Amino acid sequence: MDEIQMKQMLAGYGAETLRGIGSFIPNKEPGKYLYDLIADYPNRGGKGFRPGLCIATCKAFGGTLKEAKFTAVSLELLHNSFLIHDDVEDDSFYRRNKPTMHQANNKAIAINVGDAMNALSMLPLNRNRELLGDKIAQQLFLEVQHMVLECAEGQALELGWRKDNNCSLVKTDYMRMILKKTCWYTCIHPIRMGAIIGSKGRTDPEKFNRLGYFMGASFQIQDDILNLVADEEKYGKEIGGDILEGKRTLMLIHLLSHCQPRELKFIKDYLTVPILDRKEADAREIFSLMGKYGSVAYAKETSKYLAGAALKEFYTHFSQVPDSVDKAFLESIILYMINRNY
Amino acid sequence: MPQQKNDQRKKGKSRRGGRPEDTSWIDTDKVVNRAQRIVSSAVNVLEEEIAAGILAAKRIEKKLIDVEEIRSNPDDLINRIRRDSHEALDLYIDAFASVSGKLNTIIEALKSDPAEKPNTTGNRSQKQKPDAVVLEPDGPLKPGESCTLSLIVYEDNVGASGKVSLRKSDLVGPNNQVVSQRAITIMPKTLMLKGQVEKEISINVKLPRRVLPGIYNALLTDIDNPLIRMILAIQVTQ
Repeated sequence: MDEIQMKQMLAGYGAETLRGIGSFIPNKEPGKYLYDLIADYPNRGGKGFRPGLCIATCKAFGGTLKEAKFTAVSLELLHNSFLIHDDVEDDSFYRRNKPTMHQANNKAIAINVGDAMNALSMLPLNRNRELLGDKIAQQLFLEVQHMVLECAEGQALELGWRKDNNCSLVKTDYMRMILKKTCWYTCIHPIRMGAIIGSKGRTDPEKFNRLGYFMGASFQIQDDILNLVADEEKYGKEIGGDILEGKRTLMLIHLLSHCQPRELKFIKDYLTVPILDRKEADAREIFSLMGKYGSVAYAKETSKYLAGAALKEFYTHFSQVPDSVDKAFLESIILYMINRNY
Repeated sequence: MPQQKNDQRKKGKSRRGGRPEDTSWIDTDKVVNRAQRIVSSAVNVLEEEIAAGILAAKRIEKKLIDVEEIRSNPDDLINRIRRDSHEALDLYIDAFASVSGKLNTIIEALKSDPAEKPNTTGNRSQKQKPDAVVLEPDGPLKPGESCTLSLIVYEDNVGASGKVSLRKSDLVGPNNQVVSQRAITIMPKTLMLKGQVEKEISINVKLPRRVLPGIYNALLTDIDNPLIRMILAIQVTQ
């Protein structure tokens, strides 16, 4: 399957999920400051990566789109609620080429909308009981519970590092943080849940942990690289925003452990300044140091190795799964990560 | 933010006349080693986090159940271990002493001639011996499948400390079919146990694709304390 076909399928599953989200939003007051805003982020045209993984894995294991749809809706609602809260926590200005929820409204309203989306995500999970039976529905519920908690733990790690201006992090700290913050909910659980649904609970979901972790880590590192080198319009967020936010990316951690003491002091001083007071010229200087010390190249290399490891895991666990369009779709996502150019 | 300059690693120069690019400068071993280091470091993080998650879940469960009541009766304890062996297996060192005697009996029975096998229909003296500790997954596995069992070890005495290093044997099945001990991964291989601190040992079994159906047993023992012994039992179905 080529990249265009893969993206078309992803968009198709995303659109299907978006329709599902619409049917779970109550048509009642308060509209202006709550329910009307719930559809805002999902409607901004996200990639629908998580529902796509869940639905495709379900179908690859013999299930149907209908069987995975409630779970996909729940995943996407949760994802968007995380984004709203994440944007508040990071003081971000743009999300998918538009002002973030708290910039367009205010922080209090944004947090409240995120909370409501969290609560709404429980509804489709509950509907799984009728669709898939109590046992599988309960299993999926526990998957979501773990996913949300891990994500909160990962976010806590990162926010704590920033609060304490931790500049002595190493690569494994970063790998642990993104496992928790990103990988469980972006890849591991969507794949696990898809496999549980598709196989009617007969597949051991644990075997997909490495596949999801390698995919998610590769995906996150690539996203962090794009934040530095992408075209702003295509990326949809402010370029270099991660440096301005002091986000502990693999590039920053690599730089901190390779630069000269004088440069280290400059970066540490920069990171102690409150986010909104940081100067773009200083952020540019840090970006230039990342180039000087090969930090971006190192992150690109790490991302490709992890994507390669994901492909190996995919072949290990999907080799006995019958060939299908959805299996090819999953493979092509990994190949896309391996061949991705910036 | 400006675009980064060319990737420093792209040193290969394309040649004229459609000749293939010279990639002889690439040190393949170095690349493979780097990739292996990155991937195995990531795997370690994942394994640690999964183990920590299981341990945390068991701690919560421990708060929600009356552990002392279950512990007070070794039979109940063993039954509970068997019932609960799907993912995490609660096994405390204070239970080892009470069950190791029974384990001896089982091991001796396995070694001895079937004709000399003790009567297993159950008489009073037999019943008084503690049950064997059998680690087994929730259900049978198919060839090529894997499972992970968690073993939580706990030192009751406040001031005590010790080392636990589990040694493993091959899995022996029907007609002396052997699955190499390499199929069993014990993480961590060695751990230090302090008083009243729980530690977790993760035991992963990855069955070969061509293993024959049947029940396979392996013996796990602590290198420094041979009284700590467990049977790892795996049922393989097609």
